[in-house]
Amino acid sequence: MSTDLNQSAPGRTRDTRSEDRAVGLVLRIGAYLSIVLIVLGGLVSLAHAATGRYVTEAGVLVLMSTPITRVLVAAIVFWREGDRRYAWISIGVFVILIGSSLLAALKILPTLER
Amino acid sequence: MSATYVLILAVVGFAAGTLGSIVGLGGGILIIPVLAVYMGVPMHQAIGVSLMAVIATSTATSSVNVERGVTDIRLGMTLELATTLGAVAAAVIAGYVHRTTLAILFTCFLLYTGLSLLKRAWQGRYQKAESTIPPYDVRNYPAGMGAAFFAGGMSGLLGIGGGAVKVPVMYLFMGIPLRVATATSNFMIGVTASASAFIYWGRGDVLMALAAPIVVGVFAGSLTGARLAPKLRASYVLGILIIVTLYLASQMIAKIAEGKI
Repeated sequence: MSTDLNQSAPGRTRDTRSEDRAVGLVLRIGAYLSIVLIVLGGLVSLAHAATGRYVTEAGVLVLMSTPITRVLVAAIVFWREGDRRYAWISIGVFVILIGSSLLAALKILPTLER
Repeated sequence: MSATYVLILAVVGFAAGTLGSIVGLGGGILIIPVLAVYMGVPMHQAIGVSLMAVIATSTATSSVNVERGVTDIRLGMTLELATTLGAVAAAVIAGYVHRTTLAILFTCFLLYTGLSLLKRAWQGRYQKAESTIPPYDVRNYPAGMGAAFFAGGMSGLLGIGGGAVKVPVMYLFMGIPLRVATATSNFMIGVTASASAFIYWGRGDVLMALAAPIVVGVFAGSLTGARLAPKLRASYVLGILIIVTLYLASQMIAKIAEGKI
């Protein structure tokens, strides 16, 4: 399927498969790791509530950081392929995501009454 | 939290994941009204949880689509520059918006989605999905970036994926085949949702106890939906979704009128 797309799409002469594979792998690992941690946390919490909650929260955090990881991996793969343009675009998205998490972590976001 | 509560949340996630992956919607459109209307979850926290569900949907469906080569990663990454900026800006703004205002805006979007699904069901009788991907050239980047910024803003403000905005623009204005547009939109909503999820999380609006069971349900539902999709008549699923979204919209309106959201 991937090869067909490359051949049929004009302007896409490069091999797109290596970043497809790398990004697909990151997404799959992120999905499975987070689901295993969340379910495991649920089971552990039956015996020990506090530990279980930590494991579950780790699973949700893995899910939350899977997109940022796939942006970083795409940037690295594009760079190594010599596709600087898309490497820089990926780095741009990565910087925005890091900026967003810093905004959150620094607790400088005031909230109004709701 | 009781086991029944966990089970109900997982079932809600499963239903949203299944219906969403068959029709190509993020689960937020179902998860937010169910949480807000039936479980008394405040709007900001319902949105925070929904963003996690959107990331789960995107991750589950894209892990398959990307390796099938249906997703245009370069196009997706370019548009993500705009969706993430829109998402962060809107997520920050959402902190200043009253919950009732958010509920009203969300209900408008819910009605819009229900009606556009109705239109799609009506037109869908005459059109067939492309089985092979025709060659295409990406054009009209400015329109695409504008729509992406707007879709990102909707995502950050209302906790939805924003595919309802991006897919038509990619298809109609940028010359992207529908299958590629849908897969690329699904690919983008994960990064977009995570950009605003950080902000909601920093404000304490991502409740782990709610997010965990819903995420598990969404994962299971997305995978089931992907398996079932080829065997189902899409028109039946569309019909169910139309009834559900319009019903949920009426429930939201009732709650807003009572002043309970």
